[in-house]
Amino acid sequence: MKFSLSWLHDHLDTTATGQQIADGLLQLGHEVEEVVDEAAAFNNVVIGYVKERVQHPDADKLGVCTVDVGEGADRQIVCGAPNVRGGLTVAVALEGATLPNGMKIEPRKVRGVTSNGMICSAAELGLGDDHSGIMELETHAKPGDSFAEAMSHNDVVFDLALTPNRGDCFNVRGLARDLAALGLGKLNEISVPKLAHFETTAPQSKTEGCSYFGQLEVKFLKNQPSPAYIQRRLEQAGLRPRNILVDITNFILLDLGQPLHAYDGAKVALPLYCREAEEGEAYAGLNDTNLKLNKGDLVICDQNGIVGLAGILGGATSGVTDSTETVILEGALFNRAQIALTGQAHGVLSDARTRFERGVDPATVDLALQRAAAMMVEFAGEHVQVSSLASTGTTNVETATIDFNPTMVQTFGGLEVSVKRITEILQSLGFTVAQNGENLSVTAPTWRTYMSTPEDLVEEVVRVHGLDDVQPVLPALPLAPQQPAPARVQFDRAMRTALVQAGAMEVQTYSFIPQKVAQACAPGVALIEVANPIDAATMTTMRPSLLPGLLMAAQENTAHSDEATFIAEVGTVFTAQEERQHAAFLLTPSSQRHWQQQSTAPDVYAAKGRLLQALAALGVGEHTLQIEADAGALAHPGQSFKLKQGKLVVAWAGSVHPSVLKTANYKGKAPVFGCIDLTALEKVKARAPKYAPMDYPPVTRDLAFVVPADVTAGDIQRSLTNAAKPLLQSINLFDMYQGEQIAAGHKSVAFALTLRSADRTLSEDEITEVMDNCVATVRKNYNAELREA
Amino acid sequence: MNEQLNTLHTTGLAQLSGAANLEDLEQVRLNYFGKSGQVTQLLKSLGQMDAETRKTQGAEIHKLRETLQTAFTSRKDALEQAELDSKLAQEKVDITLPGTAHTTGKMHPVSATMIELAEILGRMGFGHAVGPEVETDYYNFSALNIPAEHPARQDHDTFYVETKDEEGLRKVLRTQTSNVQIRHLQNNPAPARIVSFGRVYRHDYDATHTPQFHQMEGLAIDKDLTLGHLKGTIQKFLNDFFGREVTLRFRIHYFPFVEPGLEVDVAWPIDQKADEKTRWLEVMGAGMVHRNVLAACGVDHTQWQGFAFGAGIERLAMLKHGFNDIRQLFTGRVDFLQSYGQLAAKLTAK
Repeated sequence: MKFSLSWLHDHLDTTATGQQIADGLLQLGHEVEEVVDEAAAFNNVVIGYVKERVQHPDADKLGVCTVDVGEGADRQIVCGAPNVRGGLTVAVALEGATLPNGMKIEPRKVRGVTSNGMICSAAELGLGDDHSGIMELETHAKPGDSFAEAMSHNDVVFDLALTPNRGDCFNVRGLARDLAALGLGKLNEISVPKLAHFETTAPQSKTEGCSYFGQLEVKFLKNQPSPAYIQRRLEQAGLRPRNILVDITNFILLDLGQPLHAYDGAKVALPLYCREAEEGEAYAGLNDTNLKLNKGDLVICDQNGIVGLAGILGGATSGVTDSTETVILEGALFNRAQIALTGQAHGVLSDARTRFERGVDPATVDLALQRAAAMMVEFAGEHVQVSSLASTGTTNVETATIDFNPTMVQTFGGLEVSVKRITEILQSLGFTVAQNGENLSVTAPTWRTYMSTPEDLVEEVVRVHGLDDVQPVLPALPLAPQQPAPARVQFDRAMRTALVQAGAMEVQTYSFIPQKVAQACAPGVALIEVANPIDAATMTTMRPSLLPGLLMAAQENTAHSDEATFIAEVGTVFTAQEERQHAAFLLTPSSQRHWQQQSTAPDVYAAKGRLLQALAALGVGEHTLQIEADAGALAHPGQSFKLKQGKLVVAWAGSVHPSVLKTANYKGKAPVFGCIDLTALEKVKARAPKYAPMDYPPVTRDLAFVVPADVTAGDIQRSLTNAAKPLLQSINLFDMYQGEQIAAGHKSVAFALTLRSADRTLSEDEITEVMDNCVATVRKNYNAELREA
Repeated sequence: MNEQLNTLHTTGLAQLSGAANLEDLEQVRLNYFGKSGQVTQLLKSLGQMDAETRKTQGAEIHKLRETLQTAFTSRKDALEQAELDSKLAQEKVDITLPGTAHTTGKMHPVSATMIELAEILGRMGFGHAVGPEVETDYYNFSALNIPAEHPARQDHDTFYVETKDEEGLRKVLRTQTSNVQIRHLQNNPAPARIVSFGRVYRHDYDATHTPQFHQMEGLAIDKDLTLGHLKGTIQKFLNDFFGREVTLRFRIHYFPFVEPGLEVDVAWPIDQKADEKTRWLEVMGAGMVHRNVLAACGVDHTQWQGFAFGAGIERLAMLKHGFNDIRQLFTGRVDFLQSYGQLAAKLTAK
């Protein structure tokens, strides 16, 4: 909300400066977003008196003026304005002034004649568009006086971000009341004449949603532009002045916080009444807002139909125009929740809605109506007549009485302050305070309908007394042991660290991805669609996989001629069923060449290596997992795999499926990826091998077999492992060959087996026995031939 | 005899020092110390001498042997050294050629900041709690004292999803990590001292807002916690995070789930180089947990009271590390991450 200091002075008798008011508002809990000191734009601009103008010796259009700026000695100022002449009172920018267009004033020579300042036009001072000549001022101010003060351009405008619990402060009077409680001035009384020239047809309410409906009828109006000060205040408040009748309702809304609505008396058939809308009823509001109403929306009707969406938006045809002569003024109280829900449902924001859903002061409605009528009498015609106030319902409300133990200010608010001070503060805010045994019985004023708990009162005391007096202290550390972080947090952190240490650049990508891509990653799975995506093309679906985000990140780098050769993300993935934590990485081919290293595009084995490295960092060894071909929709079916423990799928990796790349519109060279399901990992039995000191020497023997090409290395390795137990310490596949030297349809695989015993040096006989057993097993199982070295 | 020894001494030393390489030197050694070498012969001759002669001559012969031995060893060392030097000189390579290439991993600044914050709060006794990102209306709003008609809902710019909860209400992408407060207290009896980190979502996208960002939410519930404890906790926590005594401004503010509620501003240098001039930057929201929230969690407000505080991780990370475009964080650009990412090692070493 924006308002000016001069408007505040209507309600608050204070000598406080703009800065003091701003500081006070901040202490009271009203966030001040901006304070604009209008006078700051007129620094070193003063009132001047032109004694005489003579022709510039070298320029037809320039005059040389003798100007009194209150310095004793007159100044010589060159001026080209056609209207400059002796006897004028003018605005003079002296050296040091900076005009709104950025021009810095300093003494200078104009065609050889010294000019000590500048006589300004309205446009030059940012006060309008008029640059046809200098401003001719009418003022009693003396030469040398501040221009800003003399011409009342010294207002201060505050812009507040008000919190929704302070409905009472969405108006200048409410803020004045809060500032008065802080001691920054005295709240002025308001008195309004109650006029009653005739009777009007009383309004009706047919719903509990409208607890009060007050109405004034104002006749013989002449609509016209508002007086300058009203226009100025509305402009300062960020509203565009229209005509006096509309401006008055806006003015009252900002002044007293009560939204009023003005109907053109010629366009409505009285009596007006409030009711709940029927499901599906049509409503045409201002600004071409056409709504299909819901059951429960409150509407204002005349005898012909709906003329307003109550408390939110006026009707398209019933409003005031330039030719309006009679106005029906509505001042009502509506159910807060109904206004809020209607506003939300139809997405209509208005100043009236803002106030009604935050709560207006019931005791102010009649005052607001009468003040508006009085202003119409003053500004909107010479023969204006006002009806007596007709109404239905009541403006009486009961506010909460709170049983308040004043020691709570200390035991809850941490503020040491006397009961006397507590009572003073509450009373200054309009609360009624009575002693009730040890406690205080505190009744909220009508404008503080949110008040309901003792904690609310603690806040009132703390904010008025000052939060700075609450002494900061640290709570004692409890003796009880701190709970270890949940597995999810531990795995999350360990995995990030492991990936980073392995050389991955950790990225964070958006949780929402394009629907098409999401579906390609998880075909047939029910996903979570965002109902109101921020970008309907690209941010529609909660990601079921981290892969698309990584692909997009890689692309983004390529687009900027950069390379993301190893990026990783740890985060949440979503299906309609559940949320899981995943860690994923993407390896892309690098275009970097090295003088020594052979550059190879990453393949499924690169992904497998990184995947096992990350798993090992979390204590999950390869030997505890089983491998299975094909990682599903994301991956190349022949170049990908899953790692499982029993039925639990723990991780997967491989080349990204070409159709996924196509759907994701991925342009770069084929990448490979790996993914670990951290949620599954929480259930994995790690079975870290126990350390046993090995003092006897190991023996390593190589075996190479020629087998049919479709026999997997893993199968042979498993057979060898079983055959060499228990002396086998490790087995390493060190060569794989397919080609001319091997029979067609066959391949050669070579393993190094390391045998070792914990309690003896192995004898040649033992070793031979194990190796023979290995060879025999593989021969038998895979129709293999031992390949002689 | 002495004449012979003197000659051997002189020629021996000359031959040893004259040996140009290890092969020559070996020849010289054999000449003196080999099976039939001259010194070996002399030593052998000792056996045929009478006791008196052996006494005098023996000492002389041994002295000669030692002298020549020492000279041999030192010449051998020198020749070996020279040979090694020459070999090393030949092995010289161009050390300006590039080294083997490896990638350097960095942790994302948001992740690193969350870990750092967790460590600071961990020292202050705050354990971890976690909660879902797709949340029910109840946990994101109603249980936090924000009923459907509450105007505060407007401030949240909520993302809704098509999936519905058990009450038939559309689920939301959580707008704040405060949902974890409720879930934690419902499942764990008071007292509580927890902190939760994670992603949150708001329907807002411009130069200073991204539709997803990260928050932390701390919660402390005990018998006697006051607003003073809240102020102390925040001061200590921000001091530790920024590594200096920061000047804070606490302002009364409104969040439906706390009462009293406040916002925290930190005095921040306008110009990093000349830090006398500061401006207030909002960094946190906080307050005493509202009794309606405690009630929603089944906690008796006459027995327990406490405070909650929340902060945007991106904001804190940006202030501390000095980058200013929040949108950069989610593009995955490696050049940005190379500059503002954190090394994993620093996290434990700090």
